Amino acid sequence: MQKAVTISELIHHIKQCPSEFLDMPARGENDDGVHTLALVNDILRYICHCPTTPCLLTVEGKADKTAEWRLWQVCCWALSHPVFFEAGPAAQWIPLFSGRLDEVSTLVETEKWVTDEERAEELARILLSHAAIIPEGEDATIAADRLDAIDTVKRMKVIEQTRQAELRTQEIRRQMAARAAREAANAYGRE
Amino acid sequence: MTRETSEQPPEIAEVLARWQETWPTALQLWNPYVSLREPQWCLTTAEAREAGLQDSFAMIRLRGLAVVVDLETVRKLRVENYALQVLAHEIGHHLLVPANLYDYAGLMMRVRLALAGIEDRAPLVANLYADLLINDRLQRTMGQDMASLYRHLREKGIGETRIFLWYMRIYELLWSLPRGFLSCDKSEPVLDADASLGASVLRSFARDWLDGAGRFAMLAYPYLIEDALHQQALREFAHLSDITSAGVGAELPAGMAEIPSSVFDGIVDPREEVLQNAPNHQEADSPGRAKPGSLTAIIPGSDASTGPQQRYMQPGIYVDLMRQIHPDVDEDRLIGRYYRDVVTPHLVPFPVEALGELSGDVLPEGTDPWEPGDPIEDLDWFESALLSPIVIPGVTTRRRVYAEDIAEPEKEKPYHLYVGIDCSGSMHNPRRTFSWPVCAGALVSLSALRVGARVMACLSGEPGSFMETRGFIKEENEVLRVLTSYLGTGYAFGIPRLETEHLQNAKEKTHLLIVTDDDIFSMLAAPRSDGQTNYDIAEQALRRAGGGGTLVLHARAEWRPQEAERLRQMGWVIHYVTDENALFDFAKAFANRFYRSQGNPTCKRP
Amino acid sequence: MNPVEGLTDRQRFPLIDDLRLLHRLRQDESAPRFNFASGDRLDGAGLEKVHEYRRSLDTQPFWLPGQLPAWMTTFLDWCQRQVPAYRDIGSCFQAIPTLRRPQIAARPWQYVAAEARLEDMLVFCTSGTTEAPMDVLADPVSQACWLPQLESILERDRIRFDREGQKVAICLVCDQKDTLTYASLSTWLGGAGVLKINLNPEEWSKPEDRCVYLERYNPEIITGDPFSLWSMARVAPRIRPKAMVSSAMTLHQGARQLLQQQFGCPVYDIYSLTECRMIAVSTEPARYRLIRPELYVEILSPDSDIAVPEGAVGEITVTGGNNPFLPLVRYRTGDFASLKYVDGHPCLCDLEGRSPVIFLRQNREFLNPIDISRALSKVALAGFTLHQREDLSLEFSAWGAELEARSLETTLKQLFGDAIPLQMTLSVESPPSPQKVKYTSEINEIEI
Repeated sequence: MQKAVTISELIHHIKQCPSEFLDMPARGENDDGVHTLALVNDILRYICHCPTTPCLLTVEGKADKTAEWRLWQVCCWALSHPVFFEAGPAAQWIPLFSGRLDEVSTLVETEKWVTDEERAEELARILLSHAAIIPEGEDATIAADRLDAIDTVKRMKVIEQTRQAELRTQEIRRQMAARAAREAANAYGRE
Repeated sequence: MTRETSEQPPEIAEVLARWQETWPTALQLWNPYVSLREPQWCLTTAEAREAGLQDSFAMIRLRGLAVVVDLETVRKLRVENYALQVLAHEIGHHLLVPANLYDYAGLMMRVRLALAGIEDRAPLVANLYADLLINDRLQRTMGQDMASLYRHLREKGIGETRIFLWYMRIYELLWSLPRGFLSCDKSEPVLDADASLGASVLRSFARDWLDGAGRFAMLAYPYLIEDALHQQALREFAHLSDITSAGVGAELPAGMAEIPSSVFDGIVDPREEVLQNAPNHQEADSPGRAKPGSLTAIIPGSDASTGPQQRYMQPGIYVDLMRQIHPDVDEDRLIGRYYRDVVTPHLVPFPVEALGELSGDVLPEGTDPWEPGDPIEDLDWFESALLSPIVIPGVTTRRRVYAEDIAEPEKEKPYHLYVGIDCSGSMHNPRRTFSWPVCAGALVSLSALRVGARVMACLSGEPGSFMETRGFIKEENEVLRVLTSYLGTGYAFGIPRLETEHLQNAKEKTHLLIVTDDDIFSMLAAPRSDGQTNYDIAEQALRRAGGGGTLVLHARAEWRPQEAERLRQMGWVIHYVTDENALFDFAKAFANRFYRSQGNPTCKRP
Repeated sequence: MNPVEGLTDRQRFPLIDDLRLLHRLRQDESAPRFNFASGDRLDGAGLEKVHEYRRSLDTQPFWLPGQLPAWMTTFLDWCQRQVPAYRDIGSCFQAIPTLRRPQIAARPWQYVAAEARLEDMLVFCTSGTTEAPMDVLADPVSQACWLPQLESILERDRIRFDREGQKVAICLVCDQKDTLTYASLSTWLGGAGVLKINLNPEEWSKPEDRCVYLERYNPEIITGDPFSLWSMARVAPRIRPKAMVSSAMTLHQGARQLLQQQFGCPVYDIYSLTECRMIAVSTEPARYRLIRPELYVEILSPDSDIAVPEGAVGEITVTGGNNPFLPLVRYRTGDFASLKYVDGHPCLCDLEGRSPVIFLRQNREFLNPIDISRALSKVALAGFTLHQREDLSLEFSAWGAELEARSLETTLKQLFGDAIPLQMTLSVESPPSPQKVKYTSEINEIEI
């Protein structure tokens, strides 16, 4: 059964994230850091009420996954909100972790997900949309459009595409006003 | 939820009554203890124009904390039901942004730095930013329905420029409004991306809003790059323009010629910031992509700052900035104010009244070596600088030795100052480019005026033209007006200027200070119709003035040694400078030596 | 935005050590009140490029009748890669849409090649008489190439610069209310002097100084528009230039003869534009010989991008040039002429629309149309036409959003004199003609 939550309530919840969830992931068995994979698997078992579910998420070896894993940790906190309890089988969350979250994690400083209003909203909406939950007071179209508007991946892509041309244009415009440029050089005849 | 508006707007008297009634409530919203004068209610647009209101229905003026409302336009635009929002918004300009002229100037300075090359857009962008800050506070913290007011205005005509759509989209994001509520319902990824960054700037800098101004303006930059689009945007935002005349009639804020170095930290493009701040961001080696926080690289650096410690904007840029704040201000005053701003930190202190127990005045007797460990106050920079342009503590440093003056119980007056500045073809225009000679002249003149001396200033580029104050005067602005004028004629300071009747009839002892270059020697050697040369004039003038004379030459000592010696024989002190910074150091030392009081009202004499 | 001084003399002349002439020119007791400073800003690499350009003018062949120049394919390819505005022009020359001045004026940055170094950028504000002001971007090299272009013209008549450090090589003479004036040097001409002066007596300490100064420095070449050259003829300095160069407006035969007689030197009439500098030169009436093999000229129909038959009059359209800040592809100059090949060399004939329009003040003094344009540019006009009748009375019509008859009248009377009869028509709507500014006059130069 779907529970109701307003988007601001969920944003508030995310921004309350305890700092432990932002700690560095452990690099190996004996490291002091957070054992991210264990945390993820635990939370998935917890929200699905199936404590016996086998380890769902595993990771192929990749050099540095700090940003990805720290966002996973934040997500674990976010998913602890009651709206996600029994919001579907545990396995449904796996593609989210290894897909969209992985992608955005490298584009935003991890802390921003819990400090910046808009990033917290984006995270909330990503999770809600993945669980097919529509925030209270919105309809499917509004919810989709809203997520679209603050989508980091899309925003970064747009910025990267337009940036070089924009920068060059602005540099020319600035230079056009620079005193050195406006002094120009000798004119030898009338035009 | 838009408010219902009837077919016909209510009569003007009724609108007036309603808005008058709302005013105290609007004030109450912000602060129950604040008292602002009731707005100037204009019943007709003609009356509002008279009061300086152009196209909008309301505006503020910082002077006298005024609010002006055009009730005819209120009726025409059918915003009569939004009295609380409109009035609370205007009050917000007085209490939040820009709140005072100083912060308004600071806002404009930051926006201009970000809009390098298109600074004429600054008033529009500053207004948009200020409005966003106030509206967001009103909507989200103070529970006012600003969205409806904007929705209503949108229904009166939506803008088509992308800056309009971007700006309204920021509100939609900030206030979680559906797409198209204020902007247009078509999704455009670039607008979404930039609006999202805009909303984020608003949220992050709501308190320290001055620090966010540069970022906001950087976001707006691409939308305003074309002149035609700027013009169109001005028309589309005309109803919302309410602080562009905020500075009219106000006093000029002091200290605005300086660019605090921290300002540059806020001139950052948020687009660049998000690209750079991504955790896995690889440092791109592309040129022109500066790091956030060090974006000075893309600000026309050589243009931005000059003067002592490279901290001041160029005078022309200062004038442009102040004109945007103060559209009606006179350029002479601005330029005077600029050079005063630059020299003020270096002026001698105001003389302190002597205390009763002081037995007598101390008079300088000569100089001794100053060594490290001696009180720093005793160091005589002027004498030290004369000894060597490079200061080596304990070697080239001198200190004054004083004798107590018992014989002369009366207070001594500071010497009057005649300051002559070469404004010939080799000098550049101090109104366009920072001028060290003018700066030096201003420093010594203002120091002299501060301690009660009179000053006569003369600009001269001869043969050709000159310009001088009417004798020895006490008016700072008049002295600055002459010093900051420009001639650009001839080749040197015209020595015949020293024949002025004001020097001939001077009753007080006067020091002559002339700033020029080595072309002065040709001027001095020039024959006159009376058989004399200008050397003779220089000698006579020095004698008559009675307070000594200093010739500051932008030249090297080895260039014209014999001629220089001839002047020294007459009693002229020659000070050589080879770079313009040194000219400023000289001026500081000179002012200190001649016009700094030593805890008693007597000023030193040479 | 007005030009401002922004450099030191060192930056103005990176390769010239001896600045004595410059100081003398600026500080001469008869010197005008120069209101600006300027240099050529040529550094070692820049100077080498000017040399290369000079050589190419001598060696590069002109295109053949009915053919495109050999360099065209490479040039278009380069444009597509380098210039944002030309990214999608394709490689078929005839299919490329033509370009007009307002397009460049609105977005000059779109025409800057990616390889252009922004620190080399120069901005020239055109204050043409018949067009809205526009910022033209260029670099020091393309700007200095005016000199080799001139040399290639003079050389045919065996006239050469002395290239001596202490002499004035070129004096650009103006006569208008106010204009930028400066003393400068030329690196290309071995440090020789370059002057830009305004004959308006208010710019000088004494009116006689104009002759004294010109005579003292006796410039090798005098340049200017026909008005200014006539004014100089009236001021009558006793100077002996090697040649005179008239540009900006057509120099009529009568004026040419007058100048030739008075100053005893050949007078060249040059067709040039700020957007690309020199295009052609005329030493005989009605025929302008093209001088730049790297600037392709075609004559197009005014309303379609199709060439008119050879010999027919159409709009002069140029492609190429050597300015990385404004490479031109099918740029319509707004001037009309026909193209004919004389001995296989392309020449512009019947060049129209550049006849000087003569306006007289109430006291029958010349009034330079530049001054009228300048004064009226301060009043926000969308466009205007001004006609002066033989009796000196004026017909003025203007269009624009918020016109104030009062201030327009004051402006015109300040220019022409208080008693001049003036008939004024103001409207909000602009007329169908695309021309924003139009001057006509019933007064002709012969009468003066």
